[in-house]
Amino acid sequence: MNKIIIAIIMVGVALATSLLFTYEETIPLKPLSIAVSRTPLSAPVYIAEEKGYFEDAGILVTLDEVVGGYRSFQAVKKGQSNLGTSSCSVMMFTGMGGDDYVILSSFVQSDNDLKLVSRSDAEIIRMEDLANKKIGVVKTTASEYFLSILLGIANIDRQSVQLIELKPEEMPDALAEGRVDAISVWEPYGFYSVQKMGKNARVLETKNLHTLSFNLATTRDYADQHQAELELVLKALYRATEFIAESPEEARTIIRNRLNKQQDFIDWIWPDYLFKLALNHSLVLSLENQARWAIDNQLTDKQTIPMFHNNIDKRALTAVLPEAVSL
Amino acid sequence: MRVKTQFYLLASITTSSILALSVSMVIAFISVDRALDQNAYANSILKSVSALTHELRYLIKYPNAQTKNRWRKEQKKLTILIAKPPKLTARLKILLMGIEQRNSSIVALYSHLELRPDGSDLNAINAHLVDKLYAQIETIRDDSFQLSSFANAEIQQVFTRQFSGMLIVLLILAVVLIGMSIYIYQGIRNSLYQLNKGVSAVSKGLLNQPVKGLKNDEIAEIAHRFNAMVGVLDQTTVSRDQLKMVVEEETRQLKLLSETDALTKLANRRAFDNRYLAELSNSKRNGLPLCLLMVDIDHFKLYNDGYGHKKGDIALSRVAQAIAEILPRETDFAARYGGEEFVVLLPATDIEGARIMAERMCNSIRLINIPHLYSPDAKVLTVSIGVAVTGENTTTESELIQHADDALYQAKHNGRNQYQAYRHDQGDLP
Repeated sequence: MNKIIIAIIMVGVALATSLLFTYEETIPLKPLSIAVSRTPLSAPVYIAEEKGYFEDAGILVTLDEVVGGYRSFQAVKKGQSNLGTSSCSVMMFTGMGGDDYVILSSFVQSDNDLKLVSRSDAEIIRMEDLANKKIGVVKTTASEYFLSILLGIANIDRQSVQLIELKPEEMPDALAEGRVDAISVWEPYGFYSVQKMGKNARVLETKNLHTLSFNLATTRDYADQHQAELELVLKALYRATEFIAESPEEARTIIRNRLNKQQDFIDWIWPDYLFKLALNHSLVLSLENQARWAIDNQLTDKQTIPMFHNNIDKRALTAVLPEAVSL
Repeated sequence: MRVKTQFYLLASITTSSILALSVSMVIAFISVDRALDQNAYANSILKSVSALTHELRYLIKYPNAQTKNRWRKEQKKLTILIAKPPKLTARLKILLMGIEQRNSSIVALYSHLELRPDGSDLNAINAHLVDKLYAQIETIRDDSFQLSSFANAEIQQVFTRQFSGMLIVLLILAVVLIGMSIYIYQGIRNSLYQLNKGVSAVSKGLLNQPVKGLKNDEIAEIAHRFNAMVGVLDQTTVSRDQLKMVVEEETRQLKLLSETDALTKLANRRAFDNRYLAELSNSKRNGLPLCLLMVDIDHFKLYNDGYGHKKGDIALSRVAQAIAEILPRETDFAARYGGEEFVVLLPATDIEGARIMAERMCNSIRLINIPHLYSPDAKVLTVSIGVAVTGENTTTESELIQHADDALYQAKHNGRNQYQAYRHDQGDLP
């Protein structure tokens, strides 16, 4: 009799426990690679990897680290990686170039990632002071777009400045060595320049003038054939953004160790970042605005604005987080 | 486990369950309350953002001091609202931060914008800045919608999470408590059943069936004491039948003692008197003759004087034993009549049968060969026997005895170591 009662209790407890923990079937992990731009903007990707969220979701992700969103998307284009992390500017220039890609979700935005750092001796205090200066840019990236906005606001003709095409990692040295008067560059190179030059570097107050968003993108073919995997990736990234929101200190430590950066740098850029998954009108608007600006300023050969709506694939994000989709 | 402990355990589990449930209910209500607060806040942000974007669009279209003031007012309202959020979840905090950033971006972009009050075309950069502003408007609107929908979803999630958790805990507790109650009930019932079985056995007089199969609880203690008590009873109590048997045996023994001659183990005089009357009455009723033999040891006084009383007693016993051994039938009866005198009753025996018995008796006793050097007649111990039988001339109870006595006298007179049957003419003898 006692044994029966104990058995009943145990069965009850087991039943209740199984209700608490939903049963998850073990299926082999699906392999997938992400060309990740080596910047704290890619924090959700790094954290999802560090915390094992990808494995939890059921995918085996390998990260191919590159410098800059442009190279990241090049890797996707060349088929070296399945997914990439790139800024809107890269997406815009890529779209203008006729590449068939889709954005799956933006996962971070910053109002202060692009910076205009100048040599103190160039005396660039206001935007208007950019006239007749030698400025380093990374062509067909947010760097060039950002500079053109500043020139526009300052009402300076592009012809009156000397644009020096540089790779992002060359920027700090070029500025320090005086090869350029100023650089238009994204982080961490803004920070590196300031760190390298100390008082000899000056950062122009440009916060909020350009909102940079980093997006997860892939080719249309890959997206069409791998919706299930994409959902799992977004699921893991969503968990990562939740983790960043709930444990910001731990998230910072992970990124600092992962990117082998200084605490100062992380503290420098982190307050500007906002990690969240989203697909909304402003993304399309932002792409269109940038495209229009690129055409107007002859940053591209194309004369028509592509239908960027077609470059948004909201299927996976809608499945994972419908509240984040407003398209 | 003791019943008391089991009940304490049950009570403490119940109490702590009620406490835990109360606490989780309070937590659930707090969580729901917080979620409702969040939702209300998100809705007010959404409202404020809608008003702000509306005014901003209006301002971009009709830039003048009035529209600018109205936008500034809404912008300030939103700033104040953002500055005082209630406790938000991490996700909502992010969205709120986004709204705050967009708000700042809008202010920054607007500060670089040169709008024309006359509505004429803007130059490229201003047009682009306006585009950027619209993008920011879209973003802030999206963010505020998202904030609102997340806050709404949060309520549902909180409800599901808190109350389903509580339901599961309640379910587990119910199973545990019911299980424990059944366990305790079964335990007590079983113990009481065993105890009842034991008590029933004792009530039927069965003292050798102790209460068995008990656990280590209070009822078991009672049962152990009960078993001990029954054990003591079993050792100290005799049944009525046993008692009756003992009394009967004792009575029989007493009766035997009261009717037996201590020395010769034959019946005593009192026993003889009773038997004599009974056999006399039987003889009359049946019409069968009853013989009486009166046996007396010859010169016994001389024997006693010569050999001593102790040897005298032994001789008496041996003679008694010889008499008893000679009697062939159960119904024959021998008794010590007094001193060295014995009597033998032979029911349903005629005078001839009695003669044979008397003859045999004389011979047997002589053949025992008990030396009697002090006897003037023989060198061994002998007896004289008087034989009498019931008949027409034995009308009174004492007559048969008298006749036997007379016949004995005759035997003594004739020289001892012989028997004599009573003759009617003997009554004339002196």
